[in-house]
Amino acid sequence: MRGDFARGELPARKTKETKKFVPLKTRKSITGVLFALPGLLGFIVLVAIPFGMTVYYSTTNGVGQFVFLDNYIDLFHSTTFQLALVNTMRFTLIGVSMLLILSLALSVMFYHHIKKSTFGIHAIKSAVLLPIVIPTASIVLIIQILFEPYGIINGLITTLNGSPVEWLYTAPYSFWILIVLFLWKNCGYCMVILLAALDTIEPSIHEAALCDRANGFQRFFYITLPLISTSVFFVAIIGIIGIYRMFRESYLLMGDYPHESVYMLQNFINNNIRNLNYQRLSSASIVFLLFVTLFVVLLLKNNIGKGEE
Amino acid sequence: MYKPGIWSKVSYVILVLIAVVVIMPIVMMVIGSVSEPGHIEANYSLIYDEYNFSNEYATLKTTTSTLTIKQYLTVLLGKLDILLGFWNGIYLVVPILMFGLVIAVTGGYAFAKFDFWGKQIFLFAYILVMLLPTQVTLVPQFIFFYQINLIGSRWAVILPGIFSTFGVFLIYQFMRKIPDAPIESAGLEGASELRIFWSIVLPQCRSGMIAYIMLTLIDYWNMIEQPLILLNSEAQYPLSVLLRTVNRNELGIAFASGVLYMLPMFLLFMLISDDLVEGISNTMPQIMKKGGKN
Repeated sequence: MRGDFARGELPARKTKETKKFVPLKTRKSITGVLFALPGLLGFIVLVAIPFGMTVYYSTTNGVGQFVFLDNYIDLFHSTTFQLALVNTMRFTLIGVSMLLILSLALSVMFYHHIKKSTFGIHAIKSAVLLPIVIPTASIVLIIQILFEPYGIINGLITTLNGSPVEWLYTAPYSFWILIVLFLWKNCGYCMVILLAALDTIEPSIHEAALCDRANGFQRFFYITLPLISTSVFFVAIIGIIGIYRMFRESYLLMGDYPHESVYMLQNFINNNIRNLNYQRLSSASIVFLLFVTLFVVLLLKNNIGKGEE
Repeated sequence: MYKPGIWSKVSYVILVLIAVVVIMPIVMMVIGSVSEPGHIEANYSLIYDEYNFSNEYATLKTTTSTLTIKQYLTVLLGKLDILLGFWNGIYLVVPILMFGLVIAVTGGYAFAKFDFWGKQIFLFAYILVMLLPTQVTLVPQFIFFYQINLIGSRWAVILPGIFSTFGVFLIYQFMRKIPDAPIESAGLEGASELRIFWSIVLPQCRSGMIAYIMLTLIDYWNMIEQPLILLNSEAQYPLSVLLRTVNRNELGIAFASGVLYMLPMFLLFMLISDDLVEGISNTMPQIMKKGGKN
């Protein structure tokens, strides 16, 4: 091609176009479809068709009879499902809000020092980002050594004359251990995102606020926070995805049946797969899908509106 | 924000403390792996002892008197099941990364730079699936693979990994920022579509591809849900699942294999952490900016 051009000939493509009278727009969209095709085929076969089958299963009973919404009604009457649903919501609410607060605080603190770019700052940044690359299986070992009945924490407690606690298997503690693990894992990642957002704020805005004698809190809540709201929102999304991933920690630490305060929808679905309970499973995942769809629609609407402002 | 002084020092100290707390478990892990095997077991294995009559507790070991690589040698030379787990991890992750990258860049390019029928619908579906918990997508896939008899085959794990919507979406975000002008002018100069893609678009997408590789690697090197559900035999499980059973029996070995398992990720992280930071901070917030609309 390049050779043709160097010799001063017309590029081949142009002549072809004029011959065939294929509008550029159509040509472009055909190319686009060709590029997208491998991925789309995979998506259709591995996601769309399976989901279609799931919808079908969710409306039949075991022998293929159509029962409409019976499975869904059963599901919502099941106490295990209710427990799992409530637990998931609670975990999401507490976990995500703590993640937001912590990563915001971290990034604001970090932002003071970012201009210095000393070795120390670089090391701290790497350190807080490190947990995302650590496999769950590796870290679970340490958590067990700390929190099992004869672990280090209980050892410390007994030397201080307290009574040992079964951390992983009692109500508030297993929940909070998972929350801490969740924060440990996601905080650094979210901090990096927020730092990038903080970096886009014009210093002059803050200087103007300083001239008007705004204090630190005012500047944070009236300037910084609104300006990085998109990223904060995104961190919330990361948090929600991260919460679903917490099944890994929960499974490796506590097995198939963790304490009922941390029995979440992921555990519910996982345990039902073992029993090959298609109907229950599929209706459960469809319900989940609908929830998330609703959420995404709201979210996109919200953000498209914002983008146009 | 611009008052240096006491607050600046305090925040620095807090940051250092947080960093120390964050790395603490990792350090414990490494120390455990280089301590004398007997020493470790005598101390930490108390926690798995169901009949702990002596009523002793494990104590924190942050130092070790003797350094040894015995446990690493045991793992590398003797423990076949752990090596197998390691190999299984590689066996699953490498095809996912290789083919997944191709799918991600082509799909991302198509979504970012072309208009075609159904694009918005697919884009929305991609975002939706990306946000779903692994289990929710796993159920339909399990039902589907069960019907076509693919449960127990490694492809049941690999195929959904290759076609993960996350990759396409990540690259899509990157490619949207690539300016159109060079692409158009290359087209006018007669470059074929493939050549434009290869020589103009892909080079500008380098940090996006690195972010994809890193984030996908993190996710699939660490996977637990998929092998548990889609594979039948423990002989196919990657170490991320197997470590759980190793933990209970020999702690020293568990430490060493845990460290070995995070080592590749750690090295990669050290190598490209700047690119990763750039990748995360450049693209991710944009996902939300205009949502599915282009």
